[in-house]
Amino acid sequence: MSKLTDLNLAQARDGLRDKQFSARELTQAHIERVAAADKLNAYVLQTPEKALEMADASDAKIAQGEARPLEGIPLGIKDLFCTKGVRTTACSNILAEFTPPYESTVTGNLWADGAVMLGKLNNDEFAMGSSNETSRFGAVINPWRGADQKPLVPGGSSGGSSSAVAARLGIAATATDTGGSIRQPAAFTGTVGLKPTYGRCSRWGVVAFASSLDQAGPITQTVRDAAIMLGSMASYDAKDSTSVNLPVPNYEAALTGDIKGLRVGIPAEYRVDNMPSEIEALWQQGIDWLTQAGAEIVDISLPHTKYALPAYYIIAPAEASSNLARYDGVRYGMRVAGKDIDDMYASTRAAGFGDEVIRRIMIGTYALSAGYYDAYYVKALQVRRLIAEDFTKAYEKCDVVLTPTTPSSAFAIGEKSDDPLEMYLNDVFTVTGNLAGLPGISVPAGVDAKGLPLGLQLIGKTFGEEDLLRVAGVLETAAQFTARADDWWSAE
Amino acid sequence: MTNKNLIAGATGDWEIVLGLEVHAQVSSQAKLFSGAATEFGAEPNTQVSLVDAAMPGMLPVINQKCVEQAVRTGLGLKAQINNYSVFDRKNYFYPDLPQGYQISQFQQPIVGEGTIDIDLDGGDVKTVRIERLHLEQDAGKSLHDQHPSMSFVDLNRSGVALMEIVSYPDMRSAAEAQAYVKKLRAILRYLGTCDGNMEQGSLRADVNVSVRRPGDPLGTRCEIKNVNSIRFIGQAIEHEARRQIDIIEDGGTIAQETRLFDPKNGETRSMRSKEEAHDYRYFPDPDLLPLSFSQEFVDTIAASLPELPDDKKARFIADYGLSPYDASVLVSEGENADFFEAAAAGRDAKATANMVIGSVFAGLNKAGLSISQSPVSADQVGQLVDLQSNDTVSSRIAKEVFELMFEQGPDQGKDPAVIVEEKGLKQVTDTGAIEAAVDEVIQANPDKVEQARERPKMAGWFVGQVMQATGGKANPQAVNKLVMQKLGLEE
Amino acid sequence: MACCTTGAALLVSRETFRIPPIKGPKMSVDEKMARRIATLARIGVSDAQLPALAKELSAILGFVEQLSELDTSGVKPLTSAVETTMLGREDVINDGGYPADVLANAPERDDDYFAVPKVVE
Repeated sequence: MSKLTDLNLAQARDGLRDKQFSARELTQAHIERVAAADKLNAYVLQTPEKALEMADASDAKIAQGEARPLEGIPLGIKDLFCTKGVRTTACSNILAEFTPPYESTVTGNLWADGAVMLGKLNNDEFAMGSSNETSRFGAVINPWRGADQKPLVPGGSSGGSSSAVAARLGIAATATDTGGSIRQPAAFTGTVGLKPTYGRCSRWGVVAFASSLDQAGPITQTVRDAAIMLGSMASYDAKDSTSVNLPVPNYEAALTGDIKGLRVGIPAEYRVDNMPSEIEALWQQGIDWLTQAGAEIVDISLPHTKYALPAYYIIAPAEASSNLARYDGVRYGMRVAGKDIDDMYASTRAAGFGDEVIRRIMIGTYALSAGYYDAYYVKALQVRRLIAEDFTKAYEKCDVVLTPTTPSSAFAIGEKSDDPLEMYLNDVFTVTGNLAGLPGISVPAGVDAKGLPLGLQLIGKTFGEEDLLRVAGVLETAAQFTARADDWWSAE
Repeated sequence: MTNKNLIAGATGDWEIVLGLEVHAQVSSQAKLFSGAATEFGAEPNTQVSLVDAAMPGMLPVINQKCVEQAVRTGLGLKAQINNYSVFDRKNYFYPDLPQGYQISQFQQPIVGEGTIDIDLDGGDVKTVRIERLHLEQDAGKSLHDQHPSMSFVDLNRSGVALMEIVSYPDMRSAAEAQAYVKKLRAILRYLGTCDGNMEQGSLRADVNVSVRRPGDPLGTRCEIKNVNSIRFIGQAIEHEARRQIDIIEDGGTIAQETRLFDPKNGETRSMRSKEEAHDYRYFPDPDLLPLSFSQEFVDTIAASLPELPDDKKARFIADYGLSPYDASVLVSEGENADFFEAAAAGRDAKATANMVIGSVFAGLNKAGLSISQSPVSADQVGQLVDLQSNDTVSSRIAKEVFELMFEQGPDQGKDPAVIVEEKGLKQVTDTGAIEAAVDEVIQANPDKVEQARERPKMAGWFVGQVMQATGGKANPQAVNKLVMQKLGLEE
Repeated sequence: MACCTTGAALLVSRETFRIPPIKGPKMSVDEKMARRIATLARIGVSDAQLPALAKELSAILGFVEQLSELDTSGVKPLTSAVETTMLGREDVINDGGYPADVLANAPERDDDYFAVPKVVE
């Protein structure tokens, strides 16, 4: 393994500034590693020429002493982010070879801060999934595997991002999270995944799944890297009406390691029946670590937790059914000829969308239709308020909430793909944060008996990313998670 | 009590019940949710942003001016202004609807109930209730006649701001519906919130038509979509009402449906594409937050409202002593009213109103010009009224002078006094000269003098002859008086 | 490094979360309803696909059915986690004017129009 691809973001940034290596060298090393990683299927499009061009520009900036926050850092970009002149598909056939004439605000922010694009990362089609098996480009493989060597899922929907960061196919990656799509894949791959507060990162130019829940964030190797990435990704954007006009703090500066007196809430309702004992044990371990670091542990109640997933599986599909109506074969993407306009629509959409996307469009269409709107959609929004109010009350007693990220470690490819409901359960601990708009982070905290990574989740207050990152940093330090997946997949 | 609005059918009288949904394009530079231009008539797809084309990941941001215009309109309709309203998505598929939904307002519109007083023939006024006004996006334009098997889509209109103004079913005749649209258009133009240009589609009406026996509950209605002229509104209603009456009288029932008016044959027909049962699946647009504004914002707009047609009409009647009819005609367009007021300043308002309506409007109408293009200025009209009032010219000569001024063209060259002078049109008030002319006519026509003494009405012939002999310049009253004297026919 | 000691394989299942079984007697979505939804959503579905689709949708709806046990009367629906007011744009023309970009990805076009199968009104 090339040494340059062992670096995390903070190390690479410092090495570039100290001129220990050039941006071109760093980028070249990653390009080669990506090229040898076809088995993981993390990238759906590699842009090596563009990457080297950007790296050279970064070297020029560094030479002039004008290095920007992410100068010369090679990143992978989830294929949900529109990238100008670079094919963007949301990993759906319906977008065909769609090439946006525009750049998403988040990626635009990254390039403005000097980052380098290695290519576009695989994801579940339209970010709908928890295993990255619904992509038009095929499943992504987790670089981690158990003793039986069965290929495992990297989580989803940001499975390309998590797999790539775990396998060092990029120093960090962008991702998006609608129900857990940053945190769950991070937990499955031993990486850090940060979903910011709704409204912190602009949604402009990010292919929409469920507008009121979608939020962009990073998947990184360390908590510090997540803080650095968020500092560049976040911005107020007048082009997104749901973007919140607050200054972006220096998140890295929040990593003081001092959480003395900070109150950590432990929600009783997350102790689900028959919780796997390894998860239970890890959670207790997390509580102990934070206690040892001087935090105060507080028992809290989030009484409507069990209704979060059902509410989510109405709200997200309802919004998706409308958001995905624009894929009609008229202005861009795939078109299948039909005998008339409606036949063209129906044929195009049947051919262009995969099963899971169709399932969710249908559920959402049903939930919004006359006669069912109040019973399903309005009901779900009422429950959403109850869930949000649970957190408001809990945060009178605590500053952050600690939970497991997922109810299991990574599962095998194909293991749950026949049963949508089993798949949906992956989001059971993460989805509340989306419904309430709260920031959440998954930190790798241990491995299970199979040697597979497990994550702990912290949920913060609205725009409480600094507290969240500070506690996450303490957790990371205590966990000493240094295990790495081996390079079984490398063609080198 | 007889109701002149009833229609006679084969089996008795019928009443028409009409409600209108008017789509008025908001006057704004940019679109409701994007920064693309709204100007009419641009090349296809040139006034389209990535938002208007519904590219993946594009998001709407509201144009504050459109909000202001909707509030202004609501105030002009004396309506409830809702400081908190919500944008919803109305979901349906159509090639010129790029998002697959229209952003509209369903449950919580920006403006609630209001009223419009419509002006009917004979000076009658009727109040029509407004149910609501909401903001929404226009769709693009589909061209169906350019290719044998394809339709073409131009998205220039996509996302342009519309106000949908919904009336209660308070109208009972085509004439009332037409008066409603005229009045609404006048109010919108006064407010500057919509240019009201129906040819360009800035104002179009969906007309809900039903019929019933007088006193019965409402009948089943049909909606005639997108009627784009006041004349067509009348024709569409007349045809649709007759169609419905014929069906019911033949023992049939009316199917609730959407229909299209075809101006070529003056008929309405069912729209096939709308036959499928609709389920728009309205829900709050998660890309937008609720729209809220302060009472101060509303008050500021209220303080800047112009005088509206009804107030102006009342003032014209009270201050200028005009008839309700003349006042209605003058206030129908703000610019017309302004023209009149400028011309009438400091002089006989009734005479000015007569000249503005009888000469200026008639002349412009004939020439197909708008008031702003008038070759005769308001000031010149005023000067001409003065010449008539001080007996410099007769009303007949005044008309002639106006026509000469009008023909001068748009350079607005010569003032009326100059024309009167140059053409020697000054009224002859010198009794001596008139008397000489009268004598001359009497002497030349002894037989007519005899006849006139038998039949005094013949005196008019002598007046005519004298006027002709003086080139119309003689004061008609003076001529009349002298003729009567000389013929010995004094009253 | 944290170490989780229990050796039992992780088993997260429907039972863990008390999810009703799919093959219940209740079918909230029948084939007719499945057809209607597919038509509304403009997704082509063959008659042969309908039974399976109806079953799947019924299963998911059976899962969300739990919501009905909660009394939510008087609770205001929460549509967005953002609780600020919406800021508007100034009324200025600062976008558009690039038909080439708008049409660049069009599956079919004629000059500067998008072209679609003829629509009959």
